[in-house]
Amino acid sequence: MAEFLDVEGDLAVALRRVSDHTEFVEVTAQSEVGLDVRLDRTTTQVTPAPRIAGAVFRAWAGDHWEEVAASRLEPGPLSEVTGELIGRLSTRTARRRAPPGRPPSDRREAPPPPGTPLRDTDAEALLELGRTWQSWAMGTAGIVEAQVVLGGHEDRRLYLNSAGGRRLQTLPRIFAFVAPIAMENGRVEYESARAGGLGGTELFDQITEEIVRQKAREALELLQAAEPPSGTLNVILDPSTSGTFAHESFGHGTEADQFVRERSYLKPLFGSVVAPEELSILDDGSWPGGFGTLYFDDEGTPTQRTLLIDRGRFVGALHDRTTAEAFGARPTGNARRSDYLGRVWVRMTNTMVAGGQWSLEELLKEAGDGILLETATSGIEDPLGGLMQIRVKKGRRIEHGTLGPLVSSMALSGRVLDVLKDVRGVGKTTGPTMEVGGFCGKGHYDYIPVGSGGPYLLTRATVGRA
Amino acid sequence: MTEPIHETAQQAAERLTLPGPWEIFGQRLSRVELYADGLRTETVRGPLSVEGVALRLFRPTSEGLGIGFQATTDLSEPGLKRLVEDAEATARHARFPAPRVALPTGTPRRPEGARVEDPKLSREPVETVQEYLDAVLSECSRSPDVMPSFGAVRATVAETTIVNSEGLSAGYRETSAELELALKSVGASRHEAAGEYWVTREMRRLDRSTLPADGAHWTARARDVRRATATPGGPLPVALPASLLSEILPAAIRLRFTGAGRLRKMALPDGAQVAPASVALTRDPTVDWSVGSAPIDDEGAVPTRLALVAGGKLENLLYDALHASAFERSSNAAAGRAPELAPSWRRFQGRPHPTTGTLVIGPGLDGTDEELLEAIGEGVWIDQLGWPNPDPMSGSFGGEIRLGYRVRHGRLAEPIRGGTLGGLVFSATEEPSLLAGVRAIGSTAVLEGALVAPTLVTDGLTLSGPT
Repeated sequence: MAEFLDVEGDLAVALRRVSDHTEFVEVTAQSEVGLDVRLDRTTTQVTPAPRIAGAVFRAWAGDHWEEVAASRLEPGPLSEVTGELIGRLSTRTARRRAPPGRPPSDRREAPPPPGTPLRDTDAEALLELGRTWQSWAMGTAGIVEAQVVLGGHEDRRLYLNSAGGRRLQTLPRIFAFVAPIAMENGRVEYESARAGGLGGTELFDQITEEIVRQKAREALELLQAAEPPSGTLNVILDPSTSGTFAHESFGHGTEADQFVRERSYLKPLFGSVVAPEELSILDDGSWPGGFGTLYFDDEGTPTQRTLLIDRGRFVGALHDRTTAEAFGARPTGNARRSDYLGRVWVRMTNTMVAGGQWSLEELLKEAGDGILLETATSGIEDPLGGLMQIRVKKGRRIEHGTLGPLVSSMALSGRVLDVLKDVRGVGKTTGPTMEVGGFCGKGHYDYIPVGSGGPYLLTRATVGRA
Repeated sequence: MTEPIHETAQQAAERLTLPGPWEIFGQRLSRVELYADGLRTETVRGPLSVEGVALRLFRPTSEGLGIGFQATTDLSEPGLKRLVEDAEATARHARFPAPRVALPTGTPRRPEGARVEDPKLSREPVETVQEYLDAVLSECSRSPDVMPSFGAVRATVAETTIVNSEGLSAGYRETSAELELALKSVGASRHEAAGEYWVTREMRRLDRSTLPADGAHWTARARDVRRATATPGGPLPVALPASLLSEILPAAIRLRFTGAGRLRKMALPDGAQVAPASVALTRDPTVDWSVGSAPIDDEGAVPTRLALVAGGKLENLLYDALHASAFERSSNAAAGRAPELAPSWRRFQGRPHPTTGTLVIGPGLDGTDEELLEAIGEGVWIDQLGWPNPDPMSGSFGGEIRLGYRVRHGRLAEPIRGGTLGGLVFSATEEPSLLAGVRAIGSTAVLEGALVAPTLVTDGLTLSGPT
């Protein structure tokens, strides 16, 4: 954090300069360090995080926000961009209205999360670990290639505002991916073991020989996978898919900036029962070790656990300061920027379905016939229309209450409220429900790290080959 | 007279003393973003100014080449010194199976090619973006029953420069812009579900002249979202317009139609029959205003037209300099940079990799869209998927149908929504795929993003409805 401490005085000077021309201004400075290595059978690649640091200033212009960013944390560039901002504030401010919400005015620093920092591990040690994982994957007969990615980035952010607020945090995120690849007659299939989250290199221990070899066998099985079924079926979502379901259904749907825009089909349902009593969905930016975990959001609000559906009732939404004021709520720590060049949006952190009472065997029996969807690979929301897409790597037919043949990749489509209404069972969880995270866009842009997870979940939806 | 280009890469190179081979890719970027809630400006961002370089260097090892890479925005003397140290350090650990690399030489300092710079956007970015967003919102709020619920225009002016140890020094200016718009239909009867029509466009220029027609088209689509009925399932022919193909085809082929795929033994075999003989797919960097076109690739080589599929057969793979070196052949100028953990407009943060550039599907003989529909008789026309999410390794894609139309008696009939469409984009075997299943090709090709294509009709995909 030395670079921030060195320039904090310059940032404060720039902030004070702008504050003479607006009711409120805040600045987020960001830098990143890190390293990742990539291996496959023929190549080895080592990539340090780019040496990029900068700061974004956001000022209230009476009825909207104005932002400028500098890509150098030095007095000259900071003065240049804040001069530009002051010029725009002088000409654009038509009304002198206070900015929405109450910004923080206290000073806080978050200690780094426990674990061994990635910076204590050199590239050769990472490569050695990667080669071991690769050998596990390639050691399975029939696997012809294995892609391995491991590393991490330390995201450092300093937030200051004209109300006296200060936040300092370091967010070290670790990631690991091992994909055994099988090929036959031009068909290529793969499966992957993944690990990661906020923390130290101990997270790499989640990749074990047993898991990698299992994924290698699953990749080979996919070569023989049958065509998936088409139509509306009973579906059991595996933990990765129920996590993606939570994210796409009630995560995006409760980002309250969409309420302000009258762009959420959920807004009029606030307070209503939308699902069976067994179902609860929550977002938790303070979840220890989550890929989407952070201490403070990019408005300086501490992150928290926010219930969105509590035992079937729609009770909560995700807020920044603006939306919280509009709806008489409190900010929930969900105002996030992808980096200093990305804008603040209301975003999710770690979103999950809470555990229920059913074993997988009971869910299978209850389903009777249908499909088990496994290994979610992506999803997308439909905030006003209320649809939801999830894509999965594979599935298994459910026949007479037992698991049947493996089928290849599928997409799920459904109207969220119908899928929720049709929930007939939520699986038990005995421990953390967080799956390895990924990256989420607002629409198709501004990707940020998020986590998701959940138990097995039985409902009904339309599926088809994808 | 053309404005001189800021020579970021050249200025960095002048301050470095490095043994070759090496290359420096530089960009000076100015970004403007405007966001609207309904018709109200919500946030104005920019100009966001970024100037950065990436250094890639190649060091011999006992197992081929060690490739070092680092990017930075710190262009001070100490910053450039750290850039070199980082790149040299990574080269010591990296391996690539080629004895040497042949970096491009002989490129003109100011190469000519497709038009990729909107002069007005380049000169007056803030004003041009504001005018464009205002015009979009105005055209899309002419009907009382449809209104914008969200709008954003983001634009980047980039001065891109490349220098290498073999004497290349080249650069060009380019503009790019993204339109993101959500239109909702209001006031319909209560039993009709709410819905939005999303418009996502990537462009080189902000051309307001097409907006009256676009606005009317998008407005009609927003109404159709609201009145759409369920998607049918079953074996029906599917018509795919260029706007949808542009989200599927370039991403789906970016591995297995390239030297990167060949190196990993995943590329399609030479001469593989991937489509009927009527299908031709060409990489064409000369297409004006395509976001895939550029006068030079991201290693500085000058690209030309290249047949990828001719007569339905795989004709060529795409190579950058590095992957070409692994096979002791020449690059065909297919290098592109796409950072994995940063927005695509900051290309200097990414390593070069084989990419598709601008793709052109040759127009067919099957007539206008209306004539294609007549020929289909019964089927569906898919306007938009939630996210096709192509998988470049398996070649599959699939997503939820956000808007389509039933084709009945050779005409577009009722709008449909929900259900899924998916399958393989290509296949080297007998498996059904989008390309192998092409049964008709429209006669008029249009530019969408980085793809020029006519409407295709295919029998090779799976349509899944709720019933």
